[in-house]
Amino acid sequence: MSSLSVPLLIINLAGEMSYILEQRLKAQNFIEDKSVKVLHEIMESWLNKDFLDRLFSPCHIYQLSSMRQFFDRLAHTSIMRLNEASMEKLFHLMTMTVKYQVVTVTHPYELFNVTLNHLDGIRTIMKDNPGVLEYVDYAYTLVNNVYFTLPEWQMSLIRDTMLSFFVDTRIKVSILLREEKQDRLGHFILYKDAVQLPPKASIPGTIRYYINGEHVTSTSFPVKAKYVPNDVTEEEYDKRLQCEPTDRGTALGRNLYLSMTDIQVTRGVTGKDETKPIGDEFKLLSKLLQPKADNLDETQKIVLSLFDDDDATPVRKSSNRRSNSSTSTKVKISKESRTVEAAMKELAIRPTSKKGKGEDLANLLDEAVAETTPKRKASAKKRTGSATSTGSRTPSRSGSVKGTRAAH
Amino acid sequence: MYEFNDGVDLTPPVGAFSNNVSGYYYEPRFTTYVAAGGKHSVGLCQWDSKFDNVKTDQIIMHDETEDVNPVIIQVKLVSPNDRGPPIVVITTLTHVRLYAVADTKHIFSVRQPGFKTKIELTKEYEDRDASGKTTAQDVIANAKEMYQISRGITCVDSYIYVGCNDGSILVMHCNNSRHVTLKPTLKEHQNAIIGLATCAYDYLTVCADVTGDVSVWPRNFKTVTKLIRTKHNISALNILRKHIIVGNYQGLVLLFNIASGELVAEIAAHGREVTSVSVAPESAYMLTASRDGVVNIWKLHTRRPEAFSVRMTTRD
Repeated sequence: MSSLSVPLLIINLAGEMSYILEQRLKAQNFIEDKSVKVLHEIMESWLNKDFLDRLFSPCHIYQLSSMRQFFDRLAHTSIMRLNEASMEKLFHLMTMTVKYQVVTVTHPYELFNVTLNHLDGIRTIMKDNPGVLEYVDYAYTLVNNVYFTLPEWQMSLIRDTMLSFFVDTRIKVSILLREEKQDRLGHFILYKDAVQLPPKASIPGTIRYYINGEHVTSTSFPVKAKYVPNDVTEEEYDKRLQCEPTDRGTALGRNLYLSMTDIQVTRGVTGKDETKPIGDEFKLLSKLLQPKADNLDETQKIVLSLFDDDDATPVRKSSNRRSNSSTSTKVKISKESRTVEAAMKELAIRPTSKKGKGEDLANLLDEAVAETTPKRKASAKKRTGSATSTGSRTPSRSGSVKGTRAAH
Repeated sequence: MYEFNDGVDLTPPVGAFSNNVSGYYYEPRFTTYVAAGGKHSVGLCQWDSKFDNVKTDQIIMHDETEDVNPVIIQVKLVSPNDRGPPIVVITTLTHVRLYAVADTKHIFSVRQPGFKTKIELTKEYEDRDASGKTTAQDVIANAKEMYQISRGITCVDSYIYVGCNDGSILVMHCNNSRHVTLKPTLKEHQNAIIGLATCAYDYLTVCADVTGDVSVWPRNFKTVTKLIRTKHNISALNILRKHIIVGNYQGLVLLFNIASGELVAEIAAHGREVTSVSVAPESAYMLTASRDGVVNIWKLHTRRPEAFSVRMTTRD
């Protein structure tokens, strides 16, 4: 168990969050400067010296629920407001992608390359904001100096700690399903054709015998899987770790959403966290996320529903507390019994709901009240393993959802 | 040749750390016990020789004082006195704890040596912070590992040995199955210990640290009889008759002669780090497991290991 895994976790998760938000904001055709503003504000709130310094100071490992609260707060440092379901889906998507990355790295040091990929991705998104770019460089310096010199066993422990953090989280995500990285039960498919070996590893299948320190004979044994050696040279390897964006040698951590138009998150299993969250650990870090002063003006908020994959579901009527926001704050929940095929089909026939969201928003801004912020905190704490049962759910909906949730 | 036989569903999902599953066959009652470490609790189960009468149980870790969640690192079933049922040794983030398997009652706990509370560490940071603006160098120097975990558990006669992060070995003596006393720690290694293993025949114990040094201890643990510098990054350790078996992070399995300390064989066995090595001393079988999802079964013929390979499906 290693406390040094916390900065890596947060940087990777925040990187994924920035990719997803950028893609969703574009896909929903928000007013250009507003969406840019949202992203920049979110990135500025954590990419600054105070936060990064604090992040790298020793701190306890968080649980998934605390991490969720943290990212909740991070997402709301801008003028954007996400409804409960959107936030949950965003978090699930972030978590599963980072989990996939941690599980599939060929060797523990590759986590470093994955983190650098995320930093490169953030650089691309934030290319017009020199202030943030400066702190991305600062983050790079910290990551490089703290992790680069760690021995392999410590890096392996960090990776194990990250895996332990993600234990029993199995939520099906359409990107991973589509690329056959995840199966129907939510488990990852690790090796499709061949196994990529870590650097300096020999291809399995041989036994070398030694007498008095001298190699005498070799025999071989049959091996079922195919292994691909890693031929990277020392020079090439060092080049991949430089500050400037470059090919980091792995696709993990890159922005997969650049070419996508739609993202879906299906219901899945999240591990039960029965222990109570650590006292004030996250509050310390969360406090350092400073929203801009003018964000406190409530009429400026953009209320956002990130995942439009449920346009077929009728909008809940007046029993929904959020009925004032009729179009953009629909609570999106995929049906429990939906199969992968049905989900894939919906990708094809998804109606374009981009009917001039800008104008609708302008109307909504008048109606929308910051209604969800206090309630969300309470509901986030009540997560008891069921991914949907939160305090703010209306009885009718939770009844139907719970009814379809078979024994998990 | 080898196929899935049966399964038991345990309540806590199994955790992510290696060597957190342990089995023990209790001969007087022909019962097999298994302990599997989850994240915060250990699942126990037992069955008889026909895989009937399967019983499951759970030990949940609580932490009274600290603000740290007691994550479980390693679990092992040991039998410090041959007459009774085994004891389960659980190493967590903060303590090493012993429980009786028969009634899941807590027997003994000892704090991890070198563990600092969060308050102590935060104070160090704040002291430094108060002195002026922190530079990147300050932050880097301050980014230290907070946890001191113990890995490597073994049992010889009525003593339980646990390896610690600073290279020392915790020694606990069990008078009977309920009474445990802490003895002076053994200090030999300077680096974190990754594994401890004892040979069932001659009671020699080997202890490996993360830099690749392996020390050999006799039954009475008076002094080290041999120190072998393997120069490999060891991730798993075991002992079988006259050989020390070591797994590394590149998937190699190496066999060293215990008397001479020489490398005898080097097997390119896996495509990922070797997480665990298990032995069956009577029949000279060896099992190696790795993160590539493969469990290899080897037969040791004095010098030449022969392999039967088994592929298992991976779960995340």
